[in-house]
Amino acid sequence: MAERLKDIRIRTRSVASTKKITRTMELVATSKMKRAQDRVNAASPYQAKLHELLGEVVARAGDVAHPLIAKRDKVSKVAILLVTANRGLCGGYNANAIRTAKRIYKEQQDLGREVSIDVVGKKGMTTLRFQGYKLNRTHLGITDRPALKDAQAIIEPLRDDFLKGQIDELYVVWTHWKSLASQAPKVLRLLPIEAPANESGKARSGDIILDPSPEELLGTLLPMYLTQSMYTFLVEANASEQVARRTAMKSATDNASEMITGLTRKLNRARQAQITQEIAEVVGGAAALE
Amino acid sequence: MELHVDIISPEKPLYSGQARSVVAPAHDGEVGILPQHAPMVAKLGTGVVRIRRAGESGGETVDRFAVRQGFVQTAANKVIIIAEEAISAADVNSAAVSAELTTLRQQVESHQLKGDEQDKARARLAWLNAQKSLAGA
Repeated sequence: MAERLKDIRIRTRSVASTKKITRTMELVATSKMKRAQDRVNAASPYQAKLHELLGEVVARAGDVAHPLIAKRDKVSKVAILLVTANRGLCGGYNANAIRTAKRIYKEQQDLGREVSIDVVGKKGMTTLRFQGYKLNRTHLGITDRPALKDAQAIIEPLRDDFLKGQIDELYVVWTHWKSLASQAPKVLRLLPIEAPANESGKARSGDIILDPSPEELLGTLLPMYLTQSMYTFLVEANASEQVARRTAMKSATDNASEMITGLTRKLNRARQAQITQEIAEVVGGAAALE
Repeated sequence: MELHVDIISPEKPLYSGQARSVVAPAHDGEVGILPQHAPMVAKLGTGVVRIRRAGESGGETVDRFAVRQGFVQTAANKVIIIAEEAISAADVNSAAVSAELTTLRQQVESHQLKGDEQDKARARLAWLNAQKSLAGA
């Protein structure tokens, strides 16, 4: 009986220390989440403006023929870029993104296309490698504060592959940040770039001075747009990761609290049983002496 | 009549406010923008944006920002400058900029770098120079 009491005490103590850890991780994720959310919000004016500008320039360029927006007639090689986290303990965050990427991989393969995968984040890399996928490039050095430079380092090789004709399309899989309450894996075809719709289909001109020509403007605008999109994916993915970790750690903490309550109850019951038994033994002993 | 000016960089909006005039470094020379400017979109070079606005205690103040790779757009008395890199005069780390400038300049002048690297170094030099000119004044 004494053994059992000791076991329960040890168990309670270990659950309590686990709870301390998960609670700390929850708090850390909460504060990181706030900062990550600020970054998402701070990036959005630039993105919106760039998109608007792209629309205006495309509308005035008439038959735009920039290689980054030109659709290929025959698509035979496709690249997937998967954005995951470097660390786990964040619920289904990584698993969901990876599953989505695998679905796209299969879809594209079923279309008879050759598919290559680039991965951001250690979790995506190890999982996919373990499952036997061949990875083209991996980027592991992205921190919790993604910088524009990180985005450039990821997108530039892919852009060059695209321009050289080594890939015909690029799909990005990342965890889209819709709002604080809602994040989900999303797929976007990043290359060729989907130019904002040009309603009239004809070149508008005269009402705006474009300097230099629309073609040259596109030459600068499109790579900037790519980098910016990539940056947005990184900050959104990071913010989503922090939310996922916070939720996971919160439920872990709650579970631990519940377990501690259960264990404490069990402990008290066992202790009481022990005391009762000891009294019974004493009474029994006394009775035997009479 | 005044202009409304925004400077937006990818990581955050840098400046938003009223101004009397703006001078931006376009790709082929500086472009000055006063109220009632015709609608325009121009590519930026590497250089310094100067925003002239009414000072808090009368007179005029000039805010300066170094920018690299971007566009200036103006329409209806609004000027929007979006740049892949932008930094305000107060944020320039002049010691670090000067140090990098000296080593890089030596490398470029001694022709240590080949083709592509040389171009990159020159672009970087221009960007450092723009920042330095902010810190200097």
